[in-house]
Amino acid sequence: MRDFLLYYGVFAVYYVIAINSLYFIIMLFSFKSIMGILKSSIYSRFQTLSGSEHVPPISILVPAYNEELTIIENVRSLLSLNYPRYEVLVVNDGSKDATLQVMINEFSMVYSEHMPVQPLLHTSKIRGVYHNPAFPNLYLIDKENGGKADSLNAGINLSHYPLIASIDADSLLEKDALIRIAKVYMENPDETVAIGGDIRIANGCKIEDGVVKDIRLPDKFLPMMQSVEYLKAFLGGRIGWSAINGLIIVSGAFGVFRKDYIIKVGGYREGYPGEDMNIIIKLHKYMLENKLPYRVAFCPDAVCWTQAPDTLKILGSQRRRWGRGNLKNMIEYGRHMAFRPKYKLFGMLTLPFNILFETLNPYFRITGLLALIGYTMLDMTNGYVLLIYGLLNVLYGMLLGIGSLLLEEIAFRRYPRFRDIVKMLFYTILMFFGYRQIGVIWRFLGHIEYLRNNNSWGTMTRTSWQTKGSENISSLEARS
Amino acid sequence: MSNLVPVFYEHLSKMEEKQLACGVILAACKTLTKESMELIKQDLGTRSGDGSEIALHYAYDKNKQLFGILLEGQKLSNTHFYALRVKDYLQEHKLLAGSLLIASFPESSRSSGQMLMRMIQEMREPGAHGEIKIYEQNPAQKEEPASILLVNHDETVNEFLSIYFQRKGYLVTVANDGMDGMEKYQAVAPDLVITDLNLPILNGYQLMEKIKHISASMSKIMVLTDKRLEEDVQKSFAMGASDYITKPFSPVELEARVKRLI
Repeated sequence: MRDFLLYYGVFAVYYVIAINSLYFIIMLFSFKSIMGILKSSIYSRFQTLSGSEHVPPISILVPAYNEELTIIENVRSLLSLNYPRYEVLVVNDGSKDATLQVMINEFSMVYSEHMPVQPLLHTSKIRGVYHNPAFPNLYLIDKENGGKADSLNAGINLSHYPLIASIDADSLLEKDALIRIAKVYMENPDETVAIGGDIRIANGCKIEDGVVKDIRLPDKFLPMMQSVEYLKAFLGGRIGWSAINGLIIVSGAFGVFRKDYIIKVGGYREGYPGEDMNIIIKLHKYMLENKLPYRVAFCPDAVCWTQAPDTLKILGSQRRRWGRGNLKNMIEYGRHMAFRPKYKLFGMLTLPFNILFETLNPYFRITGLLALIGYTMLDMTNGYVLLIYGLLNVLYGMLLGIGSLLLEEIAFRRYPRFRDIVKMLFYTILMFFGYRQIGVIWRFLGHIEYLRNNNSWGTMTRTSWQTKGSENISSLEARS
Repeated sequence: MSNLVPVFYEHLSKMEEKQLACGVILAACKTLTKESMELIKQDLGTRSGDGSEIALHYAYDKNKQLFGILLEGQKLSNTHFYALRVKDYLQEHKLLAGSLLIASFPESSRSSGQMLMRMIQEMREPGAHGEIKIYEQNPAQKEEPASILLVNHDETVNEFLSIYFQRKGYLVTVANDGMDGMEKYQAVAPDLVITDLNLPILNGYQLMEKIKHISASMSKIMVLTDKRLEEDVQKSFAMGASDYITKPFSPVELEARVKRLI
């Protein structure tokens, strides 16, 4: 028994070394490509581009469920982006509040009978499309409740342009975010099927008229944690993954996609969370199966500001939802695609990495820790193994965190004040004492939820949407 | 003591006929008696300070409590210099009640009569005690400077253009978004609105629409934007814009176009 615990514990130590080393390699790729990204954006003239005839038009899809408090501000901000030709499609997903009515009132929209909605993708019943000629590039689709993916599909059916951007209704785009992401697309329009934007935490920032006026780090503990966490995930992780075309997710909060391929893979998956990862997996699958050259890109200088949950309860429900979505995707797709040479790097590296180190992460870490604690209880003299396990986790993790901060400081410097840098550094270290551990537990709880609710996704969806609604209320509080 | 206005008016018309320069100093004074007038005359003398031959004329208006000095053949600079002495003297004798106003014909105004009248009008609202104001031709008389309303979300562009146009003599008002632009428009009723199309809250088109709604013919509208799409150009002109300039722009060209419009 003792030996078994020890061996398992040692295995867990190696697991931690492996996971962090892989993260480290990915981060090295980030460092490798960041200079190129930086130079390319310095030498691009975004202002000129943002009025150019040659920029492809984009349809922005904004799924909205119970967003009456924030929708106006967000739509206004979307209507004043620096972009030559685009349209904003707000999809009211059968909201129970007055989302539809506030939109209609604010923008004097009228029901238009002859709006051509192509039945490209199956969606819940569309109740009507609203439009106002004074806002020619704004559309409002009213449909019966069907979830976020369903709303995106409805938006695609009405959209008029070849590119679509999906944006959360509680997020704000920087004015030139869309043109920056479009530049990445224009570098290689044939092969680019999806581009992700950088998501940052808006808590603490001063927001006026839907524009982030003053960039500040959050004051509260949880948003601050998420702030450095997002930096780490987006700068340290996604830049690196995109450099080797192994990106497995484009955040649902802000991403741009080729509409034709979205339609070819059958649109967004209906009914439950994780649709943002799901669409990317399907795109990889489709392109690889059809042997088409493609890339899933990431554009770290296209920034979307999002409101982070600031209570444990809402954060927990968000993380459990992520855990659920991840597990569902891995069971449905990952299993069949992992370790198949046909799927090249995505199948050989990204998916195994995701299954082993993301999906199964909680099990290895928790059991590893328990095994080592058990072992130490049985044999106090060898307690140093537990110490090694702990230190390895913390120190390697810190190295990665500090690496991401370095990326931020080299390339973006959104928080120029010195005390902000110190604060971020402090929280990067603090993250490993409690926050990370509770994150692992939430993911585990998400898996349990998945197993228990396997047959009742509909109700599940509704609860998750509801928590999303309360997120918005809290985000409004943060803004006012 | 005779009334100030007719006496000065007479002198000034004579000087105007002879095409000679003539300085005028007006000072707000406490009540002066005949004796004190004589005393002033004696103390200040009938020559200006540098000893050259200058005829000086003194006058006092009881009703307006204005003390005036006329300096024959003096330009504004000399008048100003002399006014410093007058001010010191009046202050020393505790006679000064307000500010001084100086001018010189023909430097300050082409019509001496008008200049005098305006000066007296201006003295009705005296400035700070002991301040020497220099008469300026009333802005109402000059061609009124054209007013421009700049509506742009980019603060750098707003700042640059407002400084540029102010130095060119325009009255500039700045707004940062469409709603702000609308409010400022109603407040100042400018001759020209230079607006971007891409604005928060109300975009450029809506702003144009509203301006047209308020006053159909009052203001010219010029669009200054990043957007170079044909449909934007076409729509802007259809909505009543008089000109369409795309960024990056040349300020010289912009001003030339502005001049053509107003």
